[in-house]
Order: sequence, then structure tokens, then C-alpha cells
Amino acid sequence: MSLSAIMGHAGLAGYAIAAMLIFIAVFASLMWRLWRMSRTGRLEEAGRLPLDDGRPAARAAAAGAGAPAREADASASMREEAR
Amino acid sequence: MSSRIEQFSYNDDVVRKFVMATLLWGVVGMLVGLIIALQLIWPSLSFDLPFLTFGRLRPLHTNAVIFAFVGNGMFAGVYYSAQRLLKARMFSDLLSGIHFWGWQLIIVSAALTLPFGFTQGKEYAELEWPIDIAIAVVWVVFAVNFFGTIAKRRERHLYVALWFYIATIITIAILHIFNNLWVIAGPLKSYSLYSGVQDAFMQWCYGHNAVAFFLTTPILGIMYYFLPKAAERPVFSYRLSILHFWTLVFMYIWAGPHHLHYTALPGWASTLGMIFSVMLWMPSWGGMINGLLTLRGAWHKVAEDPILKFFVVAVTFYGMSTFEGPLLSVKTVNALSHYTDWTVGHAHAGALGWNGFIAFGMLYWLAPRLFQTKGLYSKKLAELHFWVATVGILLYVVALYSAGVTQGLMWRAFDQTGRLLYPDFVETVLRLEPMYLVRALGGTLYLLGAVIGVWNILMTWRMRPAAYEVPVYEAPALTFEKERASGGLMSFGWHRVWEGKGLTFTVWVAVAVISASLFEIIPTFLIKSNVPTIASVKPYTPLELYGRDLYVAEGCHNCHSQMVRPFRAETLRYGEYSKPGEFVYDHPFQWSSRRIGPDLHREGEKRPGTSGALWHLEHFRDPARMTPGSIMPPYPWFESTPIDFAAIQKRVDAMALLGVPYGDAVNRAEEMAREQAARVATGIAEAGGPMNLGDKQVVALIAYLQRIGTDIKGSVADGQAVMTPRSRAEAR
Repeated sequence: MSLSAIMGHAGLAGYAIAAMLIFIAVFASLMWRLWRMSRTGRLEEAGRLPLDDGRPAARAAAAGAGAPAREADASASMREEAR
Repeated sequence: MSSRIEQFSYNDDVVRKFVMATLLWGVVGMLVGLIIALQLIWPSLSFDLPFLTFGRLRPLHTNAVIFAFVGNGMFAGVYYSAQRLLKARMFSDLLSGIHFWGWQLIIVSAALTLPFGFTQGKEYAELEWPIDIAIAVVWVVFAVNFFGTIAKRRERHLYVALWFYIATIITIAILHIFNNLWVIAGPLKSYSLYSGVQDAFMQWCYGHNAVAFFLTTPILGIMYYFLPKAAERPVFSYRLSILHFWTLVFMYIWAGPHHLHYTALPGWASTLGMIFSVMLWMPSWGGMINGLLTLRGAWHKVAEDPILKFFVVAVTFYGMSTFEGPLLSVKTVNALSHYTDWTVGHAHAGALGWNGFIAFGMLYWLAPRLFQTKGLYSKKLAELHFWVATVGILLYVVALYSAGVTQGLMWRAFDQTGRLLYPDFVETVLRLEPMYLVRALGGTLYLLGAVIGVWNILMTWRMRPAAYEVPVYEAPALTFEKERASGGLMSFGWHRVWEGKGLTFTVWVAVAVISASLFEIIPTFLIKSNVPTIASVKPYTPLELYGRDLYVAEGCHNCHSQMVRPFRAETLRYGEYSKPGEFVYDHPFQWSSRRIGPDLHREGEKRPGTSGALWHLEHFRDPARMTPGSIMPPYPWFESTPIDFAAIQKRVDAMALLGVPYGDAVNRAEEMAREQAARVATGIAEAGGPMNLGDKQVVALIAYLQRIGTDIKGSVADGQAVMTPRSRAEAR
């Protein structure tokens, strides 16, 4: 029996409903678990990544470790690039 | 464990280039959009020139705004944010350059081919095979550059914006390749590997997911990066962003069939598309809420900052469009909205409001940073741009919503005797003219806003220093010690590990996308009962095939559908509803998504014979004379442009390669085409038309139009001819 024949006899009346139920179950469990996660600190840290462009090299020594530069500090530049 | 400190700089040069390209193509794409909007009011604006007709310019507009404006804007945002989120310069400056110039070359190629009729005839996938290959190559270059940057990053965690970029790169590659499988039939001519129902399914899987993964996921990534930047606070909920990402990536893929409700697509696929479309509402609004709540405690800034205004309105339009999308996917709503301007209004609410405003917000934010000025040239001009464009969008979408609902209701309206209340299609067109005028006004305002924005950013660019500074940053090198997933499956330690491993994460995104696709694709292609065979359906003759190619080249599907839906209002107006088995030789399918003119699937039986041929001839010359009020442009060049008979054999051979049973035509296609052309031309002459049309394009088009939908005999009831206002009055 060909794959096409098998698929043809499978019947697809409940296909959409089954797909929906599977998805909702996965979605609900994902949401439930996500909101029970205890890694709040790490998530908050991850959420702040866009606000950290990196440490300008010139200030790095003075600022020490763990002092990310703000956007405005980025102009403390080293080299120039011809336009 | 201490790490070595590394110094690096970012490649902002490529970002600046993409910003400039975004501005240029944005104005071009919107201007073409305005021109075609005006052509719907004044068709003479095509000036009887082939390359200025609505059918040819509309794909130029859509391609320009999607792939040139949003595409370049997306690349600008990706290149800027990815480097900073990964604490690494792009993998290769050379690849960045190839990506930029390659993409611009593709855009120029599109601009040089689409107006001249080189098209595959599939929405948003019109570009012909050499350009398709170029797109694939440039996309691979982009992917190598992006993933190479991930590989050399100095930040372990992949921020959520990067997940959206990864999903974009993977999924667009898959969609582009599988929707553009073709057999080559000439230097700029190809036929889709798929036909009819399967081609429609693949095309709308592509079309829908191009919206999802080109116009939504990368823009969401940009939102998750630039909105916190502009608001100077982190995203409201990182948890919600995880949920947003995975549900969106998994569900979007399934929703494509909602573009084909009540067509010849199998019912199960249609239902599946609808259900997943409705469920899409959840993650989409999760994302919208996450975006808006990022501004918690910072709403006072919105009042003062035009950039935040752009972002807030963009996210609001995202929410509105992603509510409207599921609504339109509900079958009963779709029965009214499909083929009307409602869909066009919906698309533009997303394009102008969501994509356009995110792009402009991002460009305004980037401009002073990239051009290293103290600020924007003029904040007031940015405010003016915002308000002009916002009013423009509102006028635009309200006009098209009104037009769509009006049109849908008029098409299905019956009088007290059970007859169509508006049997002449043109009546519904004429009713829309005032709304088209308001739409054009809205579009003009939006374009005006864009021009103000371009001026403002260019003036900012003029304030740049003599030489750009290149800040140097430093960060510890990333050590790849093993991070074990803590806890069980449901502890989400595994997700934490994925987030840190670019390759693993990418593989799982690909698995999510591919598995969801296969759930629909396998049954669609394998179940024979999806497309019941109809013995009377035969391949097009060589001349009809050539005529069909002209139909495709002219972009007729931009205004005319070839799909009579199984509704009484449609079968009364057009004839028997369309069957899946009627399209098995249609490479590509031409069902269309819009009816600016009437459906043509039963045209062959409506206007048969020599009188029908003469009608078509005169209609091509001057549509408004044959159908008063028609907004179709004239096509006088069909009568003077010769048929390229020498090209026909190769096209028939290509179709035969696709499995179309051409029999004798494989050996003598040109001869057969000449014979049929002579017969059609003789018939036209006998009916009182001009002589000597036997080698002109018009006979090929007429041969095709008189063939469409005739394989099922009796598909148009007796007396179901096209009615003029006079004949309708007489019938009453």
C-alpha cells in the first residue's frame, strides 16, 4: 500500500481539532511553567541586555568590572575611520 | 573562572548604508503605490504604455515596499542590534558588503523586470528564476554573516530579539526555496513545479509566512531591541517574550490556508488554517502588551518624544492587525471579505502602521547615533511626520474598510425576486470610486510624511563630522564551559541552555517550523482525493498556453480571480463553482486574491465563438467603451505586438517535463499554435474585426480567455451572459 493510499484512508475530519488540542495543551503547560520559573534574576538580567552596548575600552580600567557603559558614553572613542 | 578581555568595534558602516537604502526605496515604493491607487480612479494614468499598467506596477509596489523598504530597514536594525547584543563585530565586513550590494542589485533587477512583464505570476514571489537564485545566494551570505557573528560573540545569552532574527533567517530560506521550485522555459521564463491546488497551497503558505517571517518576526526583534532603547528601560516581561516567540513561530506556519477559504482547497486544510489563525491572536497580543507595558512609568516621555510616538502607534497597529487577521480568517467573515478591499485595508494597516512606523521610529533613533550628531536635525519635523502619516493611515484604512464591506455586500445582494441586485460587476466598482479617492488622499499624506522623514534624516546626515569615530569596546571572551540543564524537562533549564547555544537554538527553531509545515504539506500532496480527477480536463493548446503566459505577464491576476466560490451569489454571477480538478495543468495557479474586475474562470463559456473573440478584441482596445465605467486600462499593443512563435515549443516542452500530457504538441507546438492563431484571426475577421491578426498577441490571449473554465461543459447556465445596464433593465 502506497503512502498516498495510507494518507487517503486516514481520514482527516478531526485533524484540525486534534492539532488545536495538542497545541493548546503545550501552550498551557508552557505558560504555566514559565510563570512558575524561579529564575527571575537571570530573566531580568537577560531583559536588560539591549541597554548594555558594551564597555568603552578607554573607560574600562577606571570603571572596573561590571560597569557597563550607557549609550551616551559610546562616544569615548579611540580611532577614526575615514568616511 | 576569569576570561581574557578582548577589544572590538562595531561595523556601523553597513548599517548606515542600509539606512540610506531604506529611505530611498521607501519613497520609491510608496510613490508607485500612490500611482496605482490613482490609476484606480483615473485609468488613463497608464498612458497606454505597457510598463505603466496597474497589473505590472502593482507587483513593483508590493516588492518595493516589502523587500526594499522593510527589507533594508530590517537589515539595518538587525546589523545594528545584533552586534551590540552579541558584543561582537559582524563576522565579516566583506560578507556585510556583499549582502548590502547584492540586495540592492536584486531590487534593481526587480525594478527592471516586473514592469516589463517578467513575472512568475505569484504574489510576492513574482521575481523570475535568475533573481530567485540571486535572492537565495544573498540570503545565505546574510545567514553565514549572522550565524558567524553568533559564533564569535562575547555575550552568552541570546537576547529574544536574536531569536526572532534566527527564525526569520531560517524560515524565509525554507519558504523561498520551496515556493520557487520551477522548470526553466526561457532566459526570464519559468513554470512552477506545482500546479492548481498544490501551487495555491504552497504559494499561500509562502505568502502568509512572508508576512509572518519577513514583516513580523524581524520587526518584533527590532521592537524588542529598539523600544527598550528608546524608552531607556527593559522589556516589560522577558517571560512573556519567550512565550510570544515560541507560540508565534510554531503557529504562524499553520495559518496560510486561511487565504484560500471556499476555494478549491480541501476543507480540512482550510479549517486548520482558520483555527490556528484564531489562536495566533494570543501570542500576537502577548507581544503587543509586552511592547506597550515596556513603557510603564515612561508614558510622559511619549508625549515629548516623536520616536516613542512612532513606536507606540506601531505596536498598537500590530495589535489591531493581529486582531483583524484572525477575524478575517473566520470562514463566515472571510466569505464576505475575501477578494474585497477589506483585505487590502488590513494589509496596509499592518504595512503602514506596524512596519512603516517601526521603521521610521528606528531610523529616527538611529540617525543621530549613526551619523554622530548631537541629535536629529529637527524634532518638530519628526513630530509633523508622525501626525501627517497617522492621519494618512487612518484615512487610508477607513476608506478601504468601507470599500471592502460595501463591495462584499453588493456582490451578494439579491432583490426581492431572488436575482442579483447588482448583476453588473462594474456597478460595484463605480460605487467605490469616492472611497478610492480618500484612500489616495491617505496614501498621499503617508508619502508626504515619508518625504519629510527622509529630508529630516538627510539633514541630520549633513551635520555629520568630517570623519566618523569608531568607538572601541571591550568585553571578556566567552568561554564555552558546559552548562548543564538543571532539573527536569519542565524546569526550563533546557531553555536556558538553548538560549546560550546558537546552533542548538537554531536547529530547534527549524524543527518547529518544518514540523508545522509538514503537518499540512504532506496530506495536501499525498491525498489524491484532495484533487479529484476530471476526465474532460485537458492541457492548454500551445497557443492557449502562450496566451496564458501573456495573461500572467500582464499581471491580470492583480485584478481578476479565476475561482468561482460555491456561493449562490457567485454561481449566479459567474457560473458553476470551480472544482479542484480543473486546475491540474495550471502552472502557476491564477486564483488571485483580489477582484477589482470580475472573476474570469467561466469567461470561456460566457463569450465563446467569433462574436466573443471580437468582443475581447474591442475590449482590449478600449475597455471603457465596451463596459462603461470600467477602470481597466486599454491594451492596444496586443494588436500590434507579434507572437513569439519560436518560443512556444520550449514552453510546451517545459510543461511536458512537469507531467502535462502534451502528446503531439511536444513535436509540433509551433505549427499547432500557428494553425490555431490563424483560425482565431479568421473568425475575428469574419465577425467584422480587423484582418491579419494571425501573428499578433491578441489572438493568443483571446484563445486562452475563450478556453478558461470550459472543460466542464454547461458551467454557465443559458442566458447567463454578461448583462449590461440596459439588458438588466429589460429583464426586469
